[in-house]
Amino acid sequence: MGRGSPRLESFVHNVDDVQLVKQCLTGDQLACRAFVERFQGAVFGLCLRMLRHRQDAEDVAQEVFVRVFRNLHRWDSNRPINPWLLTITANRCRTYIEQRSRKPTQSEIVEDTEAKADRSMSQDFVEELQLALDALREEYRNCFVLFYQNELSCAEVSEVLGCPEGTVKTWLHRARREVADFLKNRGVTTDEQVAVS
Amino acid sequence: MNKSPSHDMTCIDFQNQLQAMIESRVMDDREALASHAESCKSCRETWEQHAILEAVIPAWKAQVPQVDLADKVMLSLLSRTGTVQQHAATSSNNTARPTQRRGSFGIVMTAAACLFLAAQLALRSRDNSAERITTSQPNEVQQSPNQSGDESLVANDENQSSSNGANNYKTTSVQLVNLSYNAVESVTEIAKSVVPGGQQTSTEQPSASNIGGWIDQIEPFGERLDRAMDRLINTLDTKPSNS
Repeated sequence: MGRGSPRLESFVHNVDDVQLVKQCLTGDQLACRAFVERFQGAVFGLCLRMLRHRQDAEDVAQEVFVRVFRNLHRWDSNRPINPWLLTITANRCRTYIEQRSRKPTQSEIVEDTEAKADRSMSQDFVEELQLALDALREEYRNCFVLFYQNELSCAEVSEVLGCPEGTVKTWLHRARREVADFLKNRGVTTDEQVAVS
Repeated sequence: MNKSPSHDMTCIDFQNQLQAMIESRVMDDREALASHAESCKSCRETWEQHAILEAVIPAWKAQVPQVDLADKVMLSLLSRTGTVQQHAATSSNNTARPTQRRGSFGIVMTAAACLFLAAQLALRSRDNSAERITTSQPNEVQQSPNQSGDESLVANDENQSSSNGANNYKTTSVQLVNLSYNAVESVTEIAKSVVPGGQQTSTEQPSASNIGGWIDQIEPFGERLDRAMDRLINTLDTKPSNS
């Protein structure tokens, strides 16, 4: 399929989003592959944070790309593609969560514990942060994830979540405060952390 | 409201600048904020919270495992549409699809409405003819013996004309039903040519889900309609002659 070919590398690294989408719309397989490779991190990351299940996240991310290719002609090339892509992703995740909640046997929510053996202090804190996020309201969590994980601006987050920018700022502020309180209560206020400041 | 002696920063300034720094991800005022937090007890707590998050978030962000979805997505696209080229063509034609489907739905609904109207007309005309026949029958049977020859002739003429009228109604009804039957057949043909999965009109290969799509679903409905039509025609053929 041309993986690792110079043309694919060129697509992934040198071609801008608009050109890449145009190529995809012509049916160029390499361009489509490059599109997936360029955005899979953002899409899969959001899926994983929202679904908290690796296999589910992979399935939904795959479905998101299929939907994206089906609707690629609808993307307004005057606007950045990331928020558009992540809006589709967030919607798919929400639908999936709804479907999952209706199933009698709830799928297992698992941590990605690839390197559990050499767990360091910071990994413990990461897990604590994830626990803190799990305890948040869904809006706060999505807002936090889109802002920090996907590095969207507040305006872009508001576009993805379909709410005013002011609301996003409030949610982000509350999410940060609640997460920080959670971490503090769980003893994450070590000298190491304070020293960072 | 505290003022940091070195930077003249108030607590409100601190809150606003911290908020701006978080939202813009630009750490320009970090030193000034840290300095204010050192001298202000109420802002120190906020600053410590910020520091904890700043320390943990990068590690949390990096924790997302690597994934390679390209093969799966390409395979999924190919299995759904045959080739990516066809998929792109499908995508660019997607805007026309809902209209096409609405159009097809409209055709079927129009056909159903035509059928309904035709059936109503046929039934009404049959009832009328039956009415005429039943009202004419007593005259025929109960022809009074003291009726004059001319009167009986007139009565016979009337009976004859009623009978002819009934036959005319019957013929008209049958023609009308046949006409609507033909119309429905034509409409179904058109629907088959328009609906994807009925007959192929483009180079696009129908996907597995499209093949035998909703044309298959309306097939039994069509058969039932055919049978109903046949029954209606038979009824119209037989009923008046029996009466």
